[in-house]
Formats: sequence, structure tokens, C-alpha cells
Amino acid sequence: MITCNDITNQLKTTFNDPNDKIHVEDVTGGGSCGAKFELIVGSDKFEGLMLIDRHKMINAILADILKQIHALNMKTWTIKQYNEKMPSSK
Amino acid sequence: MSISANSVEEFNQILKDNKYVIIGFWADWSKPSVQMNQIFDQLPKQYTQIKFLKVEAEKLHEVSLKYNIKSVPSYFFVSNGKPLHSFVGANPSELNLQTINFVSKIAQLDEDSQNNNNNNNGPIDEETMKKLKLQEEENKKKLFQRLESLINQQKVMLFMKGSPDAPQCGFSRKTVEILQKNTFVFGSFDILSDPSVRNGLKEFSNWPTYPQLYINGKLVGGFDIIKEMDAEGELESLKPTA
Repeated sequence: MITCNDITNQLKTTFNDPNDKIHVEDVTGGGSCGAKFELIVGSDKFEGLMLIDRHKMINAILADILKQIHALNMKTWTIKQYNEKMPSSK
Repeated sequence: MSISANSVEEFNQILKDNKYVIIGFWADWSKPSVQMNQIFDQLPKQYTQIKFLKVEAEKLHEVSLKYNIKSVPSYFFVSNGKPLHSFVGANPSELNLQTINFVSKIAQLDEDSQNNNNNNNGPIDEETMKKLKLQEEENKKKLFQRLESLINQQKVMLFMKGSPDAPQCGFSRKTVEILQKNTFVFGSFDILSDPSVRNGLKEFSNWPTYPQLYINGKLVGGFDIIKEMDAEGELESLKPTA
């Protein structure tokens, strides 16, 4: 079973800057086809990248985990975007 | 075509009669495993030295237990009754890769047994292996050329499940709605109508799901990305000028 921690730890291998933000939530719920997760990553590593390239980056980092889960919804923001968009940002 | 085993006895007999068998476990409620069956059915044409055996996991419970099946699809590459390797998941390229791998392993096995007892049992020589690999590469090249021309068919191309008028999946439908809302003029391709495009494009663009939106031959993204770009007002700026 994949847990939020597995995903967070895998992301940390790349998003290792102290300013990088990683949030992972298990949104599997009942009646669905399999494990579903949502994640938000805030990092300046995304600066200058198109959304598609940001998503591809996450897909590559999580390649092994993605094989074992059903769905992943992601937000990939720069730190600036993160501060603007994060609901009740910590 | 591949064959199916409908009873445990039949299953055991097939494994006894055939030196090399690839077993694919599937279930009717698992769409990915059913889709993989289509690909599985195509393989025997290419690899006549191997039996391709489909097993409905829940029907042959005893067999599934023996192979410790936890999810479908699962694939086992069996030589003389013993699995050499296996993998789990609806991954067409993995199936191709592991099949090629299996073919080269059994070629080695055949060669060894021939050296030992001069037993001529349909060996695959290196020449044939090379040919198979070349053909594989050639097929892929042709497919990628075709994909290249498909994604450039119009300035804006949507690869989706179904058609804009009759989408076959919620994500495809919502993507069409966003494009129409933004008055995009776009062409579309129904990936359900063509498994080779469906599987090839995933590899070609390194993007695992559909729909896929291409603008000027470049992948913009799937539904999530298009939705987010629409919300941010960024989508409009990608619209090609007529």
C-alpha cells in the first residue's frame, strides 16, 4: 500500500530546498477504483517550465509509485504562486 | 490468436504440452486488463514459438492462488512449467519488452539443450532474433511517423475518447467543453478506434492518459492542465491565429 509518506519522501529526493513545499493528501474515499491522491508542490524548480513539463517532472519522480495507484491530481506551483494560491497557507 | 483455459485441467494440460507459455491473468470487471487482452491477442502472430494463454483470474481460482495473483492484469513468462519472470499492470510497452526478453531467453535455452543432446526443437537462431528486433524497431518508426503527422493534422488537435459530439469519457467531454467555451477550432482523433495510436502516443509524448491536447504539434496537456490554464486565463493565449 502506498501512503502519503511514501509520496512525500519520494518527492523530497528532488524538492529538497528548505523553501520547497510538499502537501500530499489521500483522497481515495469509498466506491472508487483504487488509491487516489492529491498533491501540491511549491518550488522554484518549476520556474520557467510549462505546466505540462512540471507535471511530467512529477510523473518521472513518482514513476514507480504511479504504477501502484489509480489516480493523482497535482498542483505544481512556484513559491510565488504557492503563496498566492495556497488556501490558508501555513 | 491467444488461447484461453476454461478449467484447471485444461490449464495444466496446456502447460504440460507447451514448452513456452505466456500467461495473462485478467478479469471482466477490470477494463485495463480487458484492453490488454487486445494487445495480448496480437502477439501470437509475431511469436509463433510461444503459446499465449489467457486466464480469467476469478474463474480459475485455484490457478490464481497458485500464481499468487493479487491484481489483474498479471503476466507470467513460463518455460517448461516454471515462470522465468512476471509483471503486474496494464502496461503495453512492458508486455512487449518482457516478451522480447523472454524470446531471447528461450532462444538461449534452446541453444543450450541443442548443444547437450542435439535435440532439434524449433530453435531461434541469432539471425531470426535480430530480424525480429529490427522489425520491431521498424514498426515503431512507422507508427511514430504516423503519430507525428496526426498531431499536426490541424493546428489544434484533441486526442480523446469518442468524438466531440459523443465523448466516451468525462474528462474528454469536459476538455471539449473548455475548448468550445474558448472558441477554439480543433480537430479530433478518437483513440478508442485505434489501439496502436492509443498506446503509441502515450510513449511518443511520454504522457500516460487521455485526452491529450496538441497545439502546433506540441503537447499542451490533459484535462487537469487545460482546466488549470483555463482558470488562469492562459489558455486563450495559446489559440493559434487563423
